[in-house]
Amino acid sequence: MRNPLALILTLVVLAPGSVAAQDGFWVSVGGGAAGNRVDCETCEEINRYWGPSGFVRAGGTVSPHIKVGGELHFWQASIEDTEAYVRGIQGLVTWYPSTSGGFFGQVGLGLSRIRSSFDVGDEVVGAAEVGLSVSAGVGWDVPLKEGVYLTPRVASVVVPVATIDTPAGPLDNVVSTIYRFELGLTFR
Amino acid sequence: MRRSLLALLLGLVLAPAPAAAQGDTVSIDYECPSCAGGTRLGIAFLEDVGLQIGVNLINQFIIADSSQDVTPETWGRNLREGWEFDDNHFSTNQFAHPYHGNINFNTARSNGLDYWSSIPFAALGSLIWEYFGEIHRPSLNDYISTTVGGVALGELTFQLSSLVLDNQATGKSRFWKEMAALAINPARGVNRFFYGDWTRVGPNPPDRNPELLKGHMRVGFRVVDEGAGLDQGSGRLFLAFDFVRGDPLAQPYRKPFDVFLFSAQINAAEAKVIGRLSAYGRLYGTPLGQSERPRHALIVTQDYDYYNTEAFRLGGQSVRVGVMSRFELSPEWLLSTSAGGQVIILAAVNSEFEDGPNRDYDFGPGLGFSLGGNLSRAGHQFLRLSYAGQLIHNVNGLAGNHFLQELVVDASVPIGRTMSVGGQGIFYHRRSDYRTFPSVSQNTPELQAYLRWRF
Repeated sequence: MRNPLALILTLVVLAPGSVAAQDGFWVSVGGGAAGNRVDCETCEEINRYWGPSGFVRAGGTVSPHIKVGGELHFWQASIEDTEAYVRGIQGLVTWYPSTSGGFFGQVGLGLSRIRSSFDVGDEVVGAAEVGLSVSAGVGWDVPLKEGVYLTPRVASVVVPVATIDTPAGPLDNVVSTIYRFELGLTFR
Repeated sequence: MRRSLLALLLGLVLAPAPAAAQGDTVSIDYECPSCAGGTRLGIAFLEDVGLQIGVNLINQFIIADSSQDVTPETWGRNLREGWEFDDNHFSTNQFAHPYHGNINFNTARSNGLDYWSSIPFAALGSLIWEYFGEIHRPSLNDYISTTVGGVALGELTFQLSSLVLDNQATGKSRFWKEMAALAINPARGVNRFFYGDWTRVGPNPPDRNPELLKGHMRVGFRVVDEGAGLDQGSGRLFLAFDFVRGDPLAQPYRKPFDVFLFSAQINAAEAKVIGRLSAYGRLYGTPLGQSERPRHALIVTQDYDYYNTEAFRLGGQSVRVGVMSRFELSPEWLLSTSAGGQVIILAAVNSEFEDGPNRDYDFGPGLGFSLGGNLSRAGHQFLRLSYAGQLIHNVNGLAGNHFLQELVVDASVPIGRTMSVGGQGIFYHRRSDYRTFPSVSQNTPELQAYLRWRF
């Protein structure tokens, strides 16, 4: 099992001939599942929630190894019968170690909005806050046909906010970390 | 498992350089003569990872810093519990971490990779350090300042070391140039030593242009209002340097940091010796208009700022978009102006927040704008005016916003061909509007009297 794993890792990074040279405008759309780990200064414990996630991203090509662009992304979940979401916009830098392989690493920076709803008996109260979003991930462009790629990606987006006011009191210095497991279609 | 790992590492180290593999036109990059037109991707990866291991081992076993006694248990806990903001000293977070990131970045940059391709190495080194280098949970503010600040300082030190290095020099002159470059950019110096570039004689990079580096040094006294009024402040010695390479109006854009500005100020009788560090590098630029000598240019810069005085502290990483203009008032008198907007990725601002003995500042992204004007005659600056405003939205610390303003007025008169005397007035204002804490206004005027040497 271990030998094939090393072989696969080597092939993923270095495999030649699977993707055409990077060039020009590109757009990608897709979605998947994501887990959100929520922690804060006044929280008694770290909570984890799962929900669907999605994205649209587009951009241009700086060099054969580098693409830059922007991304709109969302995650949402139902927590104890109320809705919570994180929606964001961020700039992305994508790096292809080999221009003849599809493997890439990606880092991003932007803003996200966290919103949670709280059932306080006879009504549902919402609380929202805008924070920074910082992301890092890896993925692979698998060619389907000329100009079209299937793009599996694993990424993490971290969204810190100073306070979320809840009916039970403020949650201070919240850090929401979303682990995104997504599949996309990339056109270029 | 060992053999598999070895195979993977060998595969990475010995993999053909991407430039050759993809069939691009091979051009020798004399920034890294031993790279022979390619890149040492695997070596860069190993150096980046090895650097984190090395720093950890030094801190664990030589400096005996218990915060770095990492074990598989601390790694597992860091992976499970994830990101937080730390409570370290301002200088650790805003200076030491970007400096560490500069070395991460240069493990790639000095192995033949360009600016953009070296960014993931700054990020990777920081990620490894945050999860596996310390027993504390990974710190998001460290990750950002190490990566983004590290890229800014990393490219700056790479460009500065390029100005010092001379591939055509020999003998003692060559030795001291290599030593100076090692001090400015340790990762590059070490790679040049081990790959034989310390002694290899050959062409210099075509864009090596030390003649474009201009600068000045100021030495003088500063008086700061620390709450009791400017007249109650005592005079303190300071030494400041400003280095500028290139001219964004005269030089077409070629590559990141082809034009840069680096400023530093050393303060006596302060808690911290380094009072100010700023690095601005051009990421993009284009002239506005069709003239052969354009009067206006659009420029995008990557900025790193660090102010650490007893009166106020401000540090951050940002990207600025602006227009620079130049007006020839007469054959000798020149007026240069600038106006721009700023996207602040993450700033640290001193505040009323308290978390432990060291953490008395907030973190947040923001927006800023700036205006500036500079009147000069035959290369000598007579008058400079600048104003900058920033709005920082806290994401960690006290919930709220900071509105920061800085006004600088500088006037000087020449007393020789390269010397001048002058004075500078700085007015810094912070207004902090908190959600659960009373609003605060802080005014910090400062006066400087100096002797300036232009070189």
